[in-house]
Amino acid sequence: MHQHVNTAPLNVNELRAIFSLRVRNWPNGQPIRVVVLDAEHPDSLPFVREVLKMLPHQLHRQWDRVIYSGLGQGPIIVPDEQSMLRHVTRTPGAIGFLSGAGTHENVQVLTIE
Amino acid sequence: MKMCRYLPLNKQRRMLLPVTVLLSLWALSWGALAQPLDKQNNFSWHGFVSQGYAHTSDNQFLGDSTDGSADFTEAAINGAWDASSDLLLSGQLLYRRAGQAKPMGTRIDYAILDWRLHDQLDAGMGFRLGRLKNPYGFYSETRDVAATRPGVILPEGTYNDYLREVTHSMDSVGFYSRMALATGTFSIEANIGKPIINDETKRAVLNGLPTQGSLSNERALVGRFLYEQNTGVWRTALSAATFSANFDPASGEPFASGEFIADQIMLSFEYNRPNWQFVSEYTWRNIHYNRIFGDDRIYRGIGFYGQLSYFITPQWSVYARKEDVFLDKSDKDGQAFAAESGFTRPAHNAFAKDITYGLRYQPSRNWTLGLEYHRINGTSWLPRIENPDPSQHKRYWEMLLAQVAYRF
Repeated sequence: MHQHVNTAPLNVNELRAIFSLRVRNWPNGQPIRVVVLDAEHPDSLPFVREVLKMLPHQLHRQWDRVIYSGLGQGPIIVPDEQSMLRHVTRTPGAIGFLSGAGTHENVQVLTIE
Repeated sequence: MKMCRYLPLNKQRRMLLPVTVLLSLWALSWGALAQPLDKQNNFSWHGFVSQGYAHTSDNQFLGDSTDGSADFTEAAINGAWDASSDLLLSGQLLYRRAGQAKPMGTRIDYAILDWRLHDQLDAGMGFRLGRLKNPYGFYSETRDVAATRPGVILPEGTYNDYLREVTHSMDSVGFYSRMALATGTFSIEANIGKPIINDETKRAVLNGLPTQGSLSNERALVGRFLYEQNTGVWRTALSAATFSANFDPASGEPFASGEFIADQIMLSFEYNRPNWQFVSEYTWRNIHYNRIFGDDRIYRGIGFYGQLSYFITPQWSVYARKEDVFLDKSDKDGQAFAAESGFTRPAHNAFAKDITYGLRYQPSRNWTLGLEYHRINGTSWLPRIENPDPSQHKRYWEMLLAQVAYRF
């Protein structure tokens, strides 16, 4: 992990606001880029249900409203864990998820309160 | 994909699988200067295309449907660009063909300059300028996107197609704000501006009568309070829209110059379980004709629907919907309406009761296939442009709709 970055923990409501695309920018003004696994990936559903504790079709409805009525950027949808890691590493302001615990180079691992 | 049944929310335990949330290194460097935007990621584009087929036993809907009609095509392409951290530009080009309904062809569906004044995790607010989508009910903003509708078509009496321009999008100024509460998110949106009027709106303004007259000084105010519970189990909304315009008849027409006002209120409610969804919306629609028909006339309309959907799997769902709509709640059988027209209009032009059964298959996020069957008693939302002669309207009719939709 990058040693000079102060990571503030996020609570689940804040995480929902981010993944529902309600908020556009991080507190420092950096645009948020939401990266999600394709809904058909087996790790997609556990994230939505067990971390966000949301119904998947309700989360998708939020995305549709943003994408098709011009309210903002949709999520970046990636097919697998390698591209998830690649996108989060290379995109400033990106937030994503992976199954399994552990540390990864060049990204921060976030604590959920 | 392995089929996963959703867990009931109250049975959700701590994480079964550990899941790690990842952030890019730059994301939360508090106090650091904002990084220059990555050029590749501040523009995105999306679109959709759908093709429908309609077959009716009587009456025409979405084309010459008694012979089977495929004149129901919707397609759009849109883009959104983060010009800066508080400025968003977005636009969508829409192609739409729905029988002979106007407007036909391609047009700018929305073109928005969005200035976000406040943007925190727990609250936000801003202004929008341009051609905006109107916040009305649950479905107005995305009514042309097949996959976002609760069925092949929206409940027609509630989301009336012939008045669609009044509540759909308009050249306007809008305000929006959102606030996170402990249990959900509360938002307020309002737009004020000039609706986009076409010949069909004129006819709707005259209660279905043809006219060569003109509308002027048209204006509308549309707003919505929305509360969405955190986990998506339920949401509710109260929407209001008021539209008014001055009307001047062409010479020789049996109308007078006057004013048309449509005031609408909608109450919306949705309840979700992992495998079930119930949606209901109730509308009050007061239509004022000031002097146009000689006297001042008010129709106090009501409409409501309830839909129950069951997700057999995440891909397959079935639903049933009941919708009733009345032009005037004190004249539900339309007898006074028919008498008022000198019996040139049938009583069933003043109401419609629709029962719908549907089947939906969504093999992936991109594809949606739908099939639905309607049994209808009444003709109040029958498009006049395709059914010009009221004496030919059939009170009892059936309709079969099929649709294939793709979006990205």
